[in-house]
Amino acid sequence: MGERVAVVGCGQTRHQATRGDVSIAGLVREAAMRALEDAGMTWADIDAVVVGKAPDFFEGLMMPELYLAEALGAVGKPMLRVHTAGSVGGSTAIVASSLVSSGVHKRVLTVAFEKQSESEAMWALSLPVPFSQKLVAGAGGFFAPHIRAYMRRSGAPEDTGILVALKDRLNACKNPFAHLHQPHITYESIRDSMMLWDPIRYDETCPSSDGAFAMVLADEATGD
Amino acid sequence: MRDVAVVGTAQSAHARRIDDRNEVEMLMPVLQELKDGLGVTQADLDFTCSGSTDYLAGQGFSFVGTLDGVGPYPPISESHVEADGAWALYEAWVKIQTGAADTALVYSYGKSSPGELPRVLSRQLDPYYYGPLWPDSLSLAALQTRALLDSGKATERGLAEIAVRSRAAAKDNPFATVSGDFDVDEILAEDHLVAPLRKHDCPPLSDGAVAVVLAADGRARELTENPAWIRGVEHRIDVHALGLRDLTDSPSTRLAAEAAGVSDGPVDVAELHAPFTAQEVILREAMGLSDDVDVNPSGGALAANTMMAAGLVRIVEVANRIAAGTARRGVAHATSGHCLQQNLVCVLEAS
Repeated sequence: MGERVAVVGCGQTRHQATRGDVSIAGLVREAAMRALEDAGMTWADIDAVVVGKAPDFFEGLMMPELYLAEALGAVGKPMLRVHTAGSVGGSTAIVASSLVSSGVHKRVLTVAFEKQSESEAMWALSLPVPFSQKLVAGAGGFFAPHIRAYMRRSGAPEDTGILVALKDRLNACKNPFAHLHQPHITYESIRDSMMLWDPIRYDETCPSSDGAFAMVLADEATGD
Repeated sequence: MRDVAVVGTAQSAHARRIDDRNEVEMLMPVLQELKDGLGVTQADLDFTCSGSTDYLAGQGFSFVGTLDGVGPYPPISESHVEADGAWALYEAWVKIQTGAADTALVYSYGKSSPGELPRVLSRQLDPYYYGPLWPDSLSLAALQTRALLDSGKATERGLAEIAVRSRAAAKDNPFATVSGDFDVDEILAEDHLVAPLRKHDCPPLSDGAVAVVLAADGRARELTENPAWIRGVEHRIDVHALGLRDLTDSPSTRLAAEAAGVSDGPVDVAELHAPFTAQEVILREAMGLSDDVDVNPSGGALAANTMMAAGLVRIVEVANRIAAGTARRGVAHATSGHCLQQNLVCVLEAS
């Protein structure tokens, strides 16, 4: 359908628990500038900016695209912010891609980020809702029942999560941008780590990371 | 580009408080009225996009709960912007342009009543330099109004006349929060709220919801005899730092209006999302609207200002007048952020 879209540049920051050395603007610029450099472009080459981020309570900053207009070279340009909850990284890329495939824009900068160290994720996930049972559950607390139900329905082995965590964490040792570098991790060390929300153990759980990832998407002519 | 039209609209009454219903309960009747009016079900809608903010709901991922009002089973193709529904409409329009959808449901909503909106909106500011000072939305609008008065582009009397005209026009709007006949001299005699703003210069607090269905080409003509075609929809953003902009102007509105082709034809009606009286003056100039253009016959945001919906409501009010045949071509505007930082302009036209 429509125009072909190419990823012509990408860039990311090192992901870690706290990027205390940069503001939110600094964090996203780091990724965006790497993506522009990878694409051989400057800010002036970009037609539109699409930002993606999960709940604003994770940074305590409402509608961050407003604050980031200057930092992402978006002044005078169209700027969108996508928020589809946990899927937002993917949705942001879809929206950015749609802007090119529809023919609306030729070159789009898209950035997804979180700087959760600015706020407190457990608090942000546990705000009480009127007439609802108060749950201080965290993300894992909500997923755990679904995981258990799936395991019982499908007969998936009990250690499936352990094997996935082992594979991913060992792969991460080859990725200089990854938050967790755990070269000494083993099947046993994961299995023996603290159980958080049965069946999810501490070492099977994602970390809370500060980080940003940016891409430059472009039409066929630009790609050529 | 595909021809895309607004084929149906619905909105709730925008009330000072909707205490007896949560967001889902507030939205469901609006969606049902819209779908029933068009004779469609959720299955007929290829894409759904909503606009809302967690900071009003007081809960992360709040829009996910509101999807219950849409009936997302079997699973639907859906997206969301944490902004006014006008930007959700833009995303849906782009989706249709890709060819991945021929129809889209767009909705947005907000409840300001549970919190202190002016303080909540201070969280939209740079969290390092502005946020810690807690500048509320009224105070920032007051800065912009002061700048406009000092520039000579407006007077306090002129702003009061905008307020009086808007609330009088809203008498014909069954969804308005505030409407009626006010006397310019009487309201000018009231004390300032945050100088130079008086109560009449400010929007009411409103809870409510709005929804539209978009459709492309022949599908639009199947769904309605009077589609309101979107001839142009564009948005731009200005610099965030208040000290780096001229608060008496709106460059992003000017750019969006030019790109959308506002001046390509006559403007029979303009709905401008101006929650503060000074902002109507700024927007009229930035959009190049002549004095004889009918601005905000609905009463505008000075009559009803449901956060996250008031911009989409402007598009709805223009589309409705085109569908009713009282306007052939109109312009709708939506804004986001303090002091008109980000602006969207939509040009609509009858067949």
